[in-house]
Amino acid sequence: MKALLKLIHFEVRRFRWFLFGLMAMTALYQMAVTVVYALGERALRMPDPGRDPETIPGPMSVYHLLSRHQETYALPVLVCVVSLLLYAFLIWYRDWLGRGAFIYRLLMLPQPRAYLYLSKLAAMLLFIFSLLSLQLALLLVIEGIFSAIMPAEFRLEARFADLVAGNELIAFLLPVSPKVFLQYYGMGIVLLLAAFTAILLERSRRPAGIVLALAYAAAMLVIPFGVILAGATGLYESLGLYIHEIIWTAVGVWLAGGALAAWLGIRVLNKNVSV
Amino acid sequence: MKRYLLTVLLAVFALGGIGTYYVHGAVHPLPAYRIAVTEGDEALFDRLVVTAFQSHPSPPRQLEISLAGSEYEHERSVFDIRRSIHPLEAELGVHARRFLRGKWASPVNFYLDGQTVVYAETQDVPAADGRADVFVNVEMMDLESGKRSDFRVLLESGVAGLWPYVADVQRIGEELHLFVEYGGEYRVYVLAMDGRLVRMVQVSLPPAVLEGERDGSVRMSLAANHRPQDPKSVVGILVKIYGTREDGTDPADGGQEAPAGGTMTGESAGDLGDPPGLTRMDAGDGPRLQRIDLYVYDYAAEDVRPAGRYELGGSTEQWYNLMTGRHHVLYRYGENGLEMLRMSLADGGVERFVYTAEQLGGHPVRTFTREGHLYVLTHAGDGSLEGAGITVLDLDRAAVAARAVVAPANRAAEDPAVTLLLEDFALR
Repeated sequence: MKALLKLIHFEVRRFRWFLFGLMAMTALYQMAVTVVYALGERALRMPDPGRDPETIPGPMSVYHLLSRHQETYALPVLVCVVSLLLYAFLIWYRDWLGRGAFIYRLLMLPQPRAYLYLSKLAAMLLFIFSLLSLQLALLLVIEGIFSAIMPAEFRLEARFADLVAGNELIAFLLPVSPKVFLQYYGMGIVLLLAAFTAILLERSRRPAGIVLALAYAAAMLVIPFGVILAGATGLYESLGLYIHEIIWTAVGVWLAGGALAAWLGIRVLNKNVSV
Repeated sequence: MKRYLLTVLLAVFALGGIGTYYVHGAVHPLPAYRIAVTEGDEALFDRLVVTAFQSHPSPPRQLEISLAGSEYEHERSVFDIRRSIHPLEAELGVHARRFLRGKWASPVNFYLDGQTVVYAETQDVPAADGRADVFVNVEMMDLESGKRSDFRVLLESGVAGLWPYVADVQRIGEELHLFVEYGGEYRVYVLAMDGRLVRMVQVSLPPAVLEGERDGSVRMSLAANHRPQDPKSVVGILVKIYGTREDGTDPADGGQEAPAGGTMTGESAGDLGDPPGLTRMDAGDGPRLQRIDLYVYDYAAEDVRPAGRYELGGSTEQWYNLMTGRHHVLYRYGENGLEMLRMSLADGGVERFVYTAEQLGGHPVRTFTREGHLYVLTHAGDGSLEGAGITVLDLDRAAVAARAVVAPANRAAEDPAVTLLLEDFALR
C-alpha cells in the first residue's frame, strides 16, 4: 500500500505546478470577472437624477449574475477540462517520450506493475476532484465578492444549490444529487480506463500497436454509442425488453466495459510492455 | 507520512470539498412536496404523479410529486430506475411479465374476462408492388394455467395507403370479434378460435344530416372507453357535426353564471371563462360544433343503433369524452370550472353538471379519465399551494369520489417566496 501511495505521490508531484497554475488561473479569472460584472450591475441600479426610475433594473442574486454570463464563467472550467483530457494521455507518454525514457525505471521497480496503472488512475481522479472542489470554494468566494459590491437593497439571497445551477457547465460537472455524481463520474472512470488501455496497447506493439489501439478504441465506442444505437434502431423493442431491463443492460455493458478495460490494461502492462 | 503531505492535503481538499457539498445539500434540501388525500379512497391516487415546476427565487426546476413525496428531474439517476411493464400487469397476475413482453400497444388491443386474456395487433407485410397484405396476430393465454396459444390471420390483401388498426377486441362464445378502424371506416372481423376468418361485418352509419344548418362538415371518431380491455356489448361511435346556423350567425355558448352546486341543472351553460392554453381554440376561426350524435355498434346484433344526441349549439371548445358501462360523458373545462354532459346509454337522456372552481378546490388546469373516474388537476394560478390539488369525480354517480391537495413536505417548501406551478399529471 505504501508503494502505491509513493507512486501516486510521485504522479502528483510531477503535475503539481501545472495543477496549481490551472487553479490560480481559474480563481483569478472568475474573481476578476465577478468584480467587473458586479460593479456594472451596481452602477445600473445606483440612483441617477438624469435617469428614468422605470429603467432601473430590480434586485438580483448571484445566481442571475452567473446565469447571465454563462460562457465567461465556463471558459476557465473548459480550459481545465481540456487540460486534464490531454494529460490523461500525457501521463503515460511523458514516461516514454521524456528525457532518458523514464518508463524503463518505472517498469523495473520491484512493486507489481498494476500499481503503476492504479497510481496514474488515482492521480488523474485526484486532479479532477481537486479542481471540482476548488470550483465549489470559488462559488462561495464569488458570492462573497458579489455581496460586498452589491448594496443589500439591490441584492437577493440565493441558495448554494442555485449558485451551482447558475452555470450550466458547472451544474453538469457538479450535479445536485450524489447519485447522479456517481453515475457521471463512474462513466468517466470507465472512459479513462479505456483510454489508458488503448495507450498501453499502442505501447506494447509499436508500431503495429497503433492499429491495435485504434481497434480497441473503436470496440469500446460500442459502450456509449452502441447502447444509444440499439435504442434508435428498435433492437430493444424487437427483443421485447422492458424499460428497466434496457437500462440495466446499459449499466451492465458499462460495468463490463470498465472491468474489461482495467483487466486488459493491467495484463498488457504485465505481459506485453517490456523494457 | 510527512513526505506525502502534498498528496494527502490534495486528497483531503478534493474529497472534503465534494463531501461537504453533498452533506450541505442533504442538510439544506430543495423544497419537497407530497400528495395528501383529504377525502375519499387513497387508492385512487396510488399511481398518480403530478409534474410541476418549482421556482423563485431559485431557477425553475422540474419535479414529480406523488403520495410518497417529490423527486426532482435533475436528481434522477440510473439508480432510480422504476420497474415498469404495462398498465395491465396487475390484472394478468403471475403470468403478466411473460405474456406482456413485446406488447407495447394500448389496452384497446387486449381483452380480459377473468379467465382468458386475448391480444390482437395488425401487421402489414409489404409486397413488391408497394401494396401490402394486412394480417392480425392474435395471442391468447389462460390466466389460471398460463397456457398460451397464437395464430395469424390474413385480413386484407393488396392494401395501399391506410392500414387497418385494432380498436377493440371481444370474445363472444367461441368467436373473437375484432373492431377495426380502416381508413375512416369501421369493420368487425369475426374469427374462429382456431384462427379462421369467419366473416367481416361492415359497420354502416346512417348518413349524417345537417339539420337546419349549412356549410357543415361531419367527423367521426370512436368513443373512448373507461376500461377498453373489459368484456362489453357495444362500442361507441361519435358523429360530430360542425357548421353555422342557417341565418349565418355563429351560435356561442351561453353566458349565465355556473350554479353553486355540482348538481343537475336545466339552465344554459355557465360562463367558464377562457380555457387554459392547452384546450383553447380560436373562436373566430375554429370550427363550430353544433351537435354530437352517439351511435353504438352492438356486438350481439352486429348492427349499429343511435344512442343519443348532444346539442352543443356551435361550441368552439375542446370537448373530451369517455364511455363507462352505463353512461357516455362529454366534458370540457375552463379557468372557472368544469362542465359535464352525461348521456344514459339506456334511454339517451342527457343531464348537465357544472362544477365551479370553488367546488373543485382550484382552477382546473388538466384532466384525464381512468376507470370511470375523471381526474381534475387544479391550481391557484399564482404559484402558491392554495388551490393546488386533485379532485376525482365518479362519472356514473356524478359526484366527488376523492380529493387530494399538494402539500409541503419540508420546511423549504413552506417558504412563501417559493412558487410551485403544476403542469400535468398522469397515472404511472
